[in-house]
Amino acid sequence: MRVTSRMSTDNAVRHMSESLEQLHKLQEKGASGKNFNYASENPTGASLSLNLRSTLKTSQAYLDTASLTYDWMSASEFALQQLEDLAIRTKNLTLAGLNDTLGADERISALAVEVDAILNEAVDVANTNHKGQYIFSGFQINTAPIELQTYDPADPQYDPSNPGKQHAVYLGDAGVMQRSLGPSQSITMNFTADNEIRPFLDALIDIRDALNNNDTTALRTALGVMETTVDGVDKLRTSNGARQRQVSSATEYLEKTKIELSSLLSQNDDANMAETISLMRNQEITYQAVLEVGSRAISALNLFEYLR
Amino acid sequence: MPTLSGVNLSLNALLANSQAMEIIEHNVANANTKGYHRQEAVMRTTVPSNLYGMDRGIGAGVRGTGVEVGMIKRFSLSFFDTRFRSVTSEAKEWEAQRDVLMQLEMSLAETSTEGLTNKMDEFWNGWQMLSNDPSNTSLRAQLLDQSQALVNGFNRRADQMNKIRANQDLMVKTRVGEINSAGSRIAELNKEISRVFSIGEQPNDLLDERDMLLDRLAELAGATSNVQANGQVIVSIGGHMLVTGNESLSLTTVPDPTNSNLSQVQWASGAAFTANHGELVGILTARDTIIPQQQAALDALAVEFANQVNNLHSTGFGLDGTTGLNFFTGGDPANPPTGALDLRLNTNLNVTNLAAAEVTGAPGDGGLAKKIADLQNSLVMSGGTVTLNAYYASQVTQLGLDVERAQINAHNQGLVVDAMDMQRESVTGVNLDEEAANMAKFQRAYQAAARVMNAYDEMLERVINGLGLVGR
Repeated sequence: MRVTSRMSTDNAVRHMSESLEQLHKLQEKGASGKNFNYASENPTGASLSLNLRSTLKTSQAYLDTASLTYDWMSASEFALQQLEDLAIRTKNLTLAGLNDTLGADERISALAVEVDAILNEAVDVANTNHKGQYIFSGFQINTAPIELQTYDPADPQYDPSNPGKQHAVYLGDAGVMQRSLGPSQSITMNFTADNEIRPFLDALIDIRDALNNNDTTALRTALGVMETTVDGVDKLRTSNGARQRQVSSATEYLEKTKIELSSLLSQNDDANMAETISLMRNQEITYQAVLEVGSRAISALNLFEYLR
Repeated sequence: MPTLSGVNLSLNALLANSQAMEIIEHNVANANTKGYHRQEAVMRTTVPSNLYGMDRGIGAGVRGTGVEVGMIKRFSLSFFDTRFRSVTSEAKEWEAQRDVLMQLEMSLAETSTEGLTNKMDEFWNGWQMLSNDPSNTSLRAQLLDQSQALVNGFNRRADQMNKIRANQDLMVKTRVGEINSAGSRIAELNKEISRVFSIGEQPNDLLDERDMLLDRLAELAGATSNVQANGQVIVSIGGHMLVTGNESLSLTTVPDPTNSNLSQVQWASGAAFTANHGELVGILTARDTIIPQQQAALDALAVEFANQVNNLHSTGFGLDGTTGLNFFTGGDPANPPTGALDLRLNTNLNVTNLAAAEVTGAPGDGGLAKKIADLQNSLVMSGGTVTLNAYYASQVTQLGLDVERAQINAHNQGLVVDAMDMQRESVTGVNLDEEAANMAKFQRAYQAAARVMNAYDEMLERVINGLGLVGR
């Protein structure tokens, strides 16, 4: 092939620019730490990255949800435990009250007053407020769920002989709070005070009234009722515990996937620095060689120099 | 008068060799001129002396009368030109397409955190967080912010696509102008070239200029040419004549009302313009096929996105009991969006009437927010086969593949073009060493001719001044 002066110059220039482009790519890869900056550099890789990043973000949201849900459940657990403790104290007091050696004065002045204090404490517990929200009132998080009221005269339970008779009234609703722990995994987070806690409070009221009235028969009945209702509270606690365990295992799973996803993403996205830097070093040497060769190719040497 | 004609013969040799030197000088001077084809003085013997008159009877004939430059040859192979033009038109088509699509890809910036996927994820997460704490007004405000960012993301992308398409108008117009001016210049050159040919000369430098214009026309629109017997070329684009003889036709651009009033290329006669390859085709493909596909996908996504969220949101209740409110609207707040460009957040939305609850008067109910967050996993696009996020991701990948294909093809075709150019250059280019050698050759021949003339001069001296003193 006949080689012309322009050919050797053009070739040298082309090789230089190609070599420099390679070097530039590697430099960019090294500086940005990314395997690719545009989808076109690696379409399949980019699509995997988009997917992974999206899943990673979503699992972070699920993790946040799980942690908030767990907090709420812990608050419920604490409240239910308090109610059970109060139940034990009440039971001891009631057993003391059933003791025939006790006089009416003692029942009223010592025991009834203490049970009344326990009742108020139990109402406070039922109205537990977690981060500004009442946890036992269904969706009505801004309304305290339990209030002690006397019966309305229109109420069928109204006893004209005892108009001051109190009972616990539930002011919340039946709202069931569902939380997502994963794409197709939801869990119920709350309990309403209406089902188990309100009857327990009513039983406490009955015990207090029986003590006040010095009525051991009614006291015995009320004790039976309270023990049943405490069983109900205990069941709530058990089921709350089961839910907490579910949330913890979901959290654990999410944490694990998050780590796995991150490492996959990094594998796909991040440049291998050791490799990039050695390739770059290599390319620098190549570029140097190309420059060396190019400088000779485009040197001014030609026959004109030698002819005289 | 053989002696005197000998002086003349030497003179011919001097002139011919100095003319050859001029041509070498021309070659050397144009060693780096684009499109220059190497020229060479083709020497030939002059017409020999006839056998009549004085010469007859003084020896053998026919004697030579010397040398002249018969023709200035231009090195070119039309076969290489045809091959070169055909590959260069493909390479330029891919390059043009690649450049437009790369602009689009850069402006979408999908792999960075500015990506739409990222904004969609944040939108879903915003709802998910709100479902955890539905009465929290700061979460509500944050969700509205994220939604606005998402809407802006959609709007910005749609706007960018429109702008990139509109920007191509200028590119199309400049190229059409270039084609027209090249066409009319070729027509002029045709006229001049056929005139020079008709008087038996070689219009070498005019041919160089015409070849360059033909190269450029091939790059622009894959124009093909055919040389006629009189030296003129016929140039056509996609089967339609651009230049015949001294006449050239022209292209115009007219706004196309069916295509957002973008410029449509057509012949001045109104005939439709078609081209097989070339920059113009690359630009038009990107503008009228690839970007509209991306636009349509983005529009479909925006519409479905708004539709799905609205369907749920309008059934829900805000903190103040508001219901029936759409989350997204079109440019006209009364209508749903028609595409990504006119997607808007409902201007009536605020932190209190934003619906998160499925029942009214239930501040702790985040059921609706949860349902909207769960939309991210619903298969609602492409006939219920993919999620919104996955649909968009597949569009991003599609664009990536389009760009990659254009890049690879441009690069590969570019290599072929380089190889073809090399082949052509190998025939037509100037090699300075060669020119130096030829220069030495002609210089020596010139010197020798001068010396021969000297010899004749001395012979004449002998005849005129040295032949005795007769009559003096």
